[in-house]
Amino acid sequence: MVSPISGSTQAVAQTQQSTPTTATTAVSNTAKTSSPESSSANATSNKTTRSTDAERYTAVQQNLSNSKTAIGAASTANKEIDTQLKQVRDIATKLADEKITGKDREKLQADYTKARDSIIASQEKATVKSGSGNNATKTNLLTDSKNQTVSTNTRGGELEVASSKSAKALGLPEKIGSAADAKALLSGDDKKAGSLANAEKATQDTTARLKKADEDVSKRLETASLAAKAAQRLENAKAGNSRTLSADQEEQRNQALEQAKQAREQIKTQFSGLSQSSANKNVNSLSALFS
Amino acid sequence: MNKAIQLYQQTRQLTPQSKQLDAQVLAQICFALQRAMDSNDPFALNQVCGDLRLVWVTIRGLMLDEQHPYPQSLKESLLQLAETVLNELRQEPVDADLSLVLQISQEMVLGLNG
Repeated sequence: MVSPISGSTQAVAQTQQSTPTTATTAVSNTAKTSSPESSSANATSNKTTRSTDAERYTAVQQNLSNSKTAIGAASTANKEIDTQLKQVRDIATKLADEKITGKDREKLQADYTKARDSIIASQEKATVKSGSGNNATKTNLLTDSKNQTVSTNTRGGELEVASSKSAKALGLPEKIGSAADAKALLSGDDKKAGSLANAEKATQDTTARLKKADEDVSKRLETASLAAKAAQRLENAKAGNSRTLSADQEEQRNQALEQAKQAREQIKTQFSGLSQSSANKNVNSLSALFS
Repeated sequence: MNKAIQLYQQTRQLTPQSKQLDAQVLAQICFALQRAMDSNDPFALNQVCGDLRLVWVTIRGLMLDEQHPYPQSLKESLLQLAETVLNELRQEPVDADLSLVLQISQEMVLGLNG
């Protein structure tokens, strides 16, 4: 099952080499996705790929947001796996009893297969999809063979969110054929691949790692959101539409501009400047302010 | 009598100069503001907004001077404009209507250059 990540289809980030206004693709669970071809395309169609500061900050924000979604999906799936591993331990403990035979054993074996399949299903549930079409990428922080790379700012800063790189079903055997198999599964220490202790340890480590990654990404997301908002406000200010003005405010603004125009014409007719003939010694002339 | 003529000549030379100096100061700040807005540089914006605040506080002080030679109506008009500008500059640069501040300041430059 693949959960879609809502938002932009392409998260954009700045690489150290790129110019400040050139956008490059940077969301990926496989290091970096920008290819020489895409760099070349960027160069040739620079005008079309130029983005504003606000867009780039928003892209970073989206990138971090996608990462947070991936971490969230992995955490939820990991919790399910933790519960399923407890069931596996119960079943394996029963299967280790040689006295259990016949239909009872078959039922327990079927329960084990079901629990193992549930673990696989939960692992798959951790997959999230971002983007669409050719830009679509899938991220699974439980089973991906590579870590997820997340852009954290517009200057090329990156954060690696580690994947657990877990094997299918955490390496648990497909079947427990005998009491001896069950005992082997239960007795192996956490360093032995395929042992139950190893699977449980991996799940606990994943929980701790995802919690830390979530805290880190959340903090960065908060900063990126503020930066994106500030950049947007700056661009709005530059464009003269920093605020949505009410009709009254708009009228006041226009009046101020009209008043400034009238004052301009009146000043033109004056012989002296603004700083002329100040008798007040506490008031500077304008030129004295910066001399 | 000679002294009076001398003073008149000095005044004739100094007054246009003071008008130009004021225009120069305001024009430089307008340029700095435009550049800071274009570059979206928060540091430069903070700096230029500080300078503008100082300029407009000074203009307000000058216009409150009863002995200032400008007509009362112009002084009142400039006081109102100073309030408008300073109201904007009391806010964070990202929240202020800097486009309005810039336009008003540029009108002053045009007037002083005229």
